[in-house]
Amino acid sequence: MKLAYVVPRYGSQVIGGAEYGARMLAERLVSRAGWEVEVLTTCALDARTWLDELPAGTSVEAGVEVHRFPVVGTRHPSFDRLSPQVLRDPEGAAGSAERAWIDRQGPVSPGLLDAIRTSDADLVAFYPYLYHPTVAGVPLAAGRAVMHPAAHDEPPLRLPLFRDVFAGVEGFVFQTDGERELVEGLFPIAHRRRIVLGLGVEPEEGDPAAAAALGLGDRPYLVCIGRVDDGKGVRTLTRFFAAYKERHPGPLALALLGPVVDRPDPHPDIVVAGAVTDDVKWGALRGAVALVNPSGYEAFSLVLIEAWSAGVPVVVNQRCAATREHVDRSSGGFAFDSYARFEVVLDRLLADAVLRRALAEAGRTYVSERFLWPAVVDRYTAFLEGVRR
Amino acid sequence: MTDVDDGVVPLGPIDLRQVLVEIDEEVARRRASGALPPGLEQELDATFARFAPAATVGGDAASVLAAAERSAFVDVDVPTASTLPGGPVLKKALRKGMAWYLRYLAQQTSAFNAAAVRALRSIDDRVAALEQTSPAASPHLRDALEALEPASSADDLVSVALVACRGATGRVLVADAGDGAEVRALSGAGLDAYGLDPRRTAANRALADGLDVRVGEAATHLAGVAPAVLGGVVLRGVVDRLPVAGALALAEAAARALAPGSALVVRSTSPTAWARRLDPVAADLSPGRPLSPETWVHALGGLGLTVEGVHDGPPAEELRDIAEELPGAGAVNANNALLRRALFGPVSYTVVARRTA
Repeated sequence: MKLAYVVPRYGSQVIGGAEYGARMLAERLVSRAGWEVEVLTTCALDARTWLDELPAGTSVEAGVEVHRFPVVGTRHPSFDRLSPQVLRDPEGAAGSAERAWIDRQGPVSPGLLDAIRTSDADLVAFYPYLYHPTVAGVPLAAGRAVMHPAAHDEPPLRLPLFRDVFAGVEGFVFQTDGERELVEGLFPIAHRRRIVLGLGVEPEEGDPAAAAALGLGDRPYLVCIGRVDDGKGVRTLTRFFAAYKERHPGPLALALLGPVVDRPDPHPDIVVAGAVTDDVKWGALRGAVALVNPSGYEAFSLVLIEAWSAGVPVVVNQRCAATREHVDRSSGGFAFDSYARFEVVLDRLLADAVLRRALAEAGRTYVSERFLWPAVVDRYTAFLEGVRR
Repeated sequence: MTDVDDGVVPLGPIDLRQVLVEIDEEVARRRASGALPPGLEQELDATFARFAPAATVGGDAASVLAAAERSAFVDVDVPTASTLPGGPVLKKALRKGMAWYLRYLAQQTSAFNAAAVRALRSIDDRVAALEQTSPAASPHLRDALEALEPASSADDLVSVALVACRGATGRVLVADAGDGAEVRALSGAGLDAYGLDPRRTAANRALADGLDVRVGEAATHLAGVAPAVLGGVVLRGVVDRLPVAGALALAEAAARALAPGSALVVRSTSPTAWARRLDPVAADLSPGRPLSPETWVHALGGLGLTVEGVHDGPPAEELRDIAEELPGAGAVNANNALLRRALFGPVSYTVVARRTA
């Protein structure tokens, strides 16, 4: 079986997001007997600009053949102005307006579209739904298109043009049941083959001195891993945490690990570490009281799976369908939808080591039953073989 | 991850349900006691709301209504903090100057919001009361039905479905699929078959067997299927337990999903056999009763489908035949057969109808 992934950007430089999921699957599939995997992508790395940063052409990365094609221009300068106009009433957007929205969002790469058209792959897996390569590429792979939508409840998903895109897909790979329900509620695709797969995890020991290196010493701390971005709920978390510390003085600290988009207000108990190595990430995770993921918009949230595999309970945003689903099914943590609940949940976690251990253990069981890579890839290959039939 | 809903996992020495209840109670206690200044909570929760989806997910109606209630009050005392020099003073002056106007509007909006939430609470109470009296909507009944084993597969249905769906190019849906016997047989014949069953245990058994069988109700599923795409629909089991209106609506949804030229196969227990033979618990809990073949023929014709035939299922097992070697067995058994047909009829029947090509 030959599988081609189509992603707007690809490479070890792309941290998190749907593209990371595609790379993880591609690198594991390629080592399976009988599987041939290629990636069709652009030369871009930054989703905000789509600037060509990597050379066009073919390379082999971790055993995967990667074909990169240049982007025409960059993300259109008028995109940010157009976006609110189109997304104010996405269902009612005129065809020309939504087409302009997709084109200007990019990345537009005619070479990539030609490669989809001429690919000899048995199946073409598009990842995620949102960008130009998927919208323009699915019709070019008619009869062999698989989609990993990585969708969450956001206005673009309701643009009418996506109806044709989703209708042209033979099989869907969802990350959570919440995502499946959302997509099946919006598009008449319930009869299509689909799987709720998620992503796998490979726990690492990490650097035992990570906390000290981050300046946390031997203080108890919460950790938040991912882009430090208001849109990811980090502003909510830092404000809640600052209020908590004002009402509960003590040694508790908060470590933010990840590239900084929106720098939070300075606070003596908040460490903004920026992007860190995997070694530091795992080390910091293993020493944390809990991992907090405050984001309301997650398609899967691999950090929760990593936290549980490291034996750490989690605290999540109750309004995020994906993280709430994980917590409900695992019993590996708590959710908050207000400051009051955040405060009470932290009080309980900090005061009760037995509870923390029990939650972490439940999370670890959940991960080992569903999200260890070999089992994930087994299920994925069986699904793809079913779609090809 | 699968369609399996595992519920709350036991946490060894910890009773998580109890912990969650205690957390809820503690949140309520802090709010009621004033330990959490309302202004502080409102300001922080406004930040939360700004960066989170509008609706809470996964909660029951009561918690969603509680969230709506918390958001019902419109606060006009906007925060005045600012990083700009003189900003707080300016903001305070603006707040004071506009307060008379904004309060007038906010009072009306808050009153409307509160009334709307009260109305929703009242509707929620009435729906809950209705659920308790309506068998089709009762969660207790759903749970009870979930515990029942699905009907076993039927060879005669498989052979009728195979003929009816021969050559289908679209996917063929089987509902209720049970342990997947029909799906397996149809797939084995080269059809792209998949199934649905509301009983998780049965569906997951089939899933583990490598079949595309999902947990779900046929009506909900068909509502999410594009028109005119399916190569065939086989309805079994589900039509025996739905109320009449539900069964007819299901047939209509199935007809809409059928590609031109494709077949709808309805397998029903015969009403008399159903009353005689069904597990008494399942019969008592069932919100509906099977329809007669004539009713299905009439209904499917009304949906614009061409009814191709009604196939009798296996004969009733009452009045068992005597051993062939006994004297007079031939005559006795022939009479038995006549009596069985006259008194009991077949156990089940299958109606095949086709959407016009």
